[in-house]
Parts: sequence; structure tokens; C-alpha cells
Amino acid sequence: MAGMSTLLPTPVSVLAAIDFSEASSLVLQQALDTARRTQAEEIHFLHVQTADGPDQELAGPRTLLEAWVAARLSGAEGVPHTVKVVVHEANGNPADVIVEMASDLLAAVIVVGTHGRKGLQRMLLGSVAEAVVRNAGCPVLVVSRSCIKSGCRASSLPARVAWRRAPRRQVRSSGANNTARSTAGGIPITTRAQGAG
Amino acid sequence: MANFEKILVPVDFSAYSAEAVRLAADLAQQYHGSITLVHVYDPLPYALPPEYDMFTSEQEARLTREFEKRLAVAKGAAESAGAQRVEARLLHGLPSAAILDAARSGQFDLIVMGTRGRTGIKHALLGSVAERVLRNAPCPVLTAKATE
Repeated sequence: MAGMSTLLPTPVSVLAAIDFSEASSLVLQQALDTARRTQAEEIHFLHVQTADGPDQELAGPRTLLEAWVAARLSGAEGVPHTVKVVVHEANGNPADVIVEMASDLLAAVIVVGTHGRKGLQRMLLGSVAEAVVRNAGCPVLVVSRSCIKSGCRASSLPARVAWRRAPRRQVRSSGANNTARSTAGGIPITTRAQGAG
Repeated sequence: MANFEKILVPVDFSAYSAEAVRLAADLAQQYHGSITLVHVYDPLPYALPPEYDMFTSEQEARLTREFEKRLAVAKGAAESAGAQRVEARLLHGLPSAAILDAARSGQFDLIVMGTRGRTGIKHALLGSVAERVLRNAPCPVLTAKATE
């Protein structure tokens, strides 16, 4: 995207927030599509587990996100563009973690979904997407449920994907500011998301 | 291949919407897309007794000319930022509803909107128009933030 500094060789990256909801599949599609369009070098998928959310520890949360992403990449059509896929698991306040990670990564864009909740439920739960839009320093692509209903067009996926697994992030949420952070150095994994390439 | 060929950019002539125009122009240039700038003018923000008019027709005409002029400036900004096909429209009605209607009927691929930063009262940060559009848009919405 325009405005990227040419002084530092920071890879152009797209950050996609995944919560396994109905909107998440579309978030993934849009993230891949955006990455292709912007010639991004990295796509970061982030799932934030909330303290009051269902405990996915037993199911292996990292494996769950990886499996979820891999399953959706496997049917990809070939596009001559290679991106690195990084999968992140974190704990904390979702919006805070997403905004902080985007800033750490100097992400070109964040892709998030919104559930379209209304009334009391929304007042109680707030909206992750809205908080991300408010606080993020970069453009945010928001995909809503009405977007799914109206049949957003499916996008083509990148052909080759190099996997990298990021260490689990522990973010202690203390209101607006998260101080604790771990670097996402990652372990390079050379798995291909699909056979054809 | 899904591209952002038709981009809708609601503008309110603030610094936030100027950034949205810039971002949209950038995307339009990259993907050879078109941009439609819309400003929604709500002539009746409050219910008034029947004998009262919000504006005289002369005042309204002056306002319309002013909006058209500012839209032309925004169009020029988009074009100089690299967009090839830009059109500008002045719409009337409730802003969020008019934007959503335009997005649906025009079958836009993307809406680019400016949003406010951290300053101000919490709820006003995002703006109720942007909030309604985000929740109900028939297509993805890209939010842009003005550089401080």
C-alpha cells in the first residue's frame, strides 16, 4: 500500500482476525484476496481466546486454528503469488490484542468480521470490530454478516503457502493498554497448504 | 477473480474522508476500478412543525451549490491521487440509509470510509453513520484513518 516506508525492508503483511464464526470464512477469503492485490508477503491469522469464552485448551487451540486455516486453503486455485502464512494464538481482550499485533507487524491492513449483533447482546459484548476500527493505526477491512447474506463474491487464493507458526502470545489485558508481549519470531515450517502449487 | 472494481466512498469533507478518498484512489489505480464519491445531505434532521421550513429554498440552493463544489474538489483530489474513473453524487436522506441503499443498488464491491481517531467521547469516536454502515453493508468496508 502507499505510504509504506522504503527505508526498512518490512514485509508487507495482512492481519486477519479469526473467531471461527460465520464471518470468519469470509475474513479469510478477503485477507487472501487483499494479500494478493497488495502483493503482501505475509498473512497473519490471529485467534484471540477470551477469558470468558469457551475453553478450547483441550481441543488444542493452536491446532484448531491451523486446521481451520489449512482446510480453507486446501481448495485454492492457483495464483502465481507466494505468501507466508503465520498463525497466532493469543489470550486477552480481542480488540486490544488485534490492534497491538497490527502495530507490531506494521500491518498494511487488518481484516475483521462483525456479527451484526443488536440491542442488549451487543451492549454487553461490545463489538470487537468497532473497537479495532477505532484504535487501529492502519486501514481496517470489515466484513459483516449482511455482506455474507448478499453473497460477497468469492476470491481466488494464493497458490503456494509457506507456513510459519508463531509462539502463543500472552497479553495481559489492563484496559486499553497491553504491556506484556512476546515476539512473533516463529518456527519456520515448510508445509505446503496444497499439493498442486 | 473478485476485484474492487466499484468503490463507494461516502464523504463528509473532513480530514477523515480526505484520507478515505486518498486510499480509495490508491486502490482504484491498482485495480483499474472506478470510484463513486457520495455526500449525503440530510435536509430534515429534526421533525419540525408543518409551518416551519428548515431552510428557505434559496438557502437550500446555496447549500446544494456548496456541496457540489466540495464534491468537485474531492473528485479532483481522487483524480490527482491516481484514480481514472471518478464520479460524484449528492444524495438526500438519512446518511447511513442513503449510503447503504447506494451500495446495494449500485452493486459496489467495496465501501471506503474515514473514521475518527481516539479523540472525543467514546461513542462518538467511530460515528453513528460509520457504525451503521459497518454493521449492515452488503460488501466489505475498508476504514481509513486520517494521519495525525
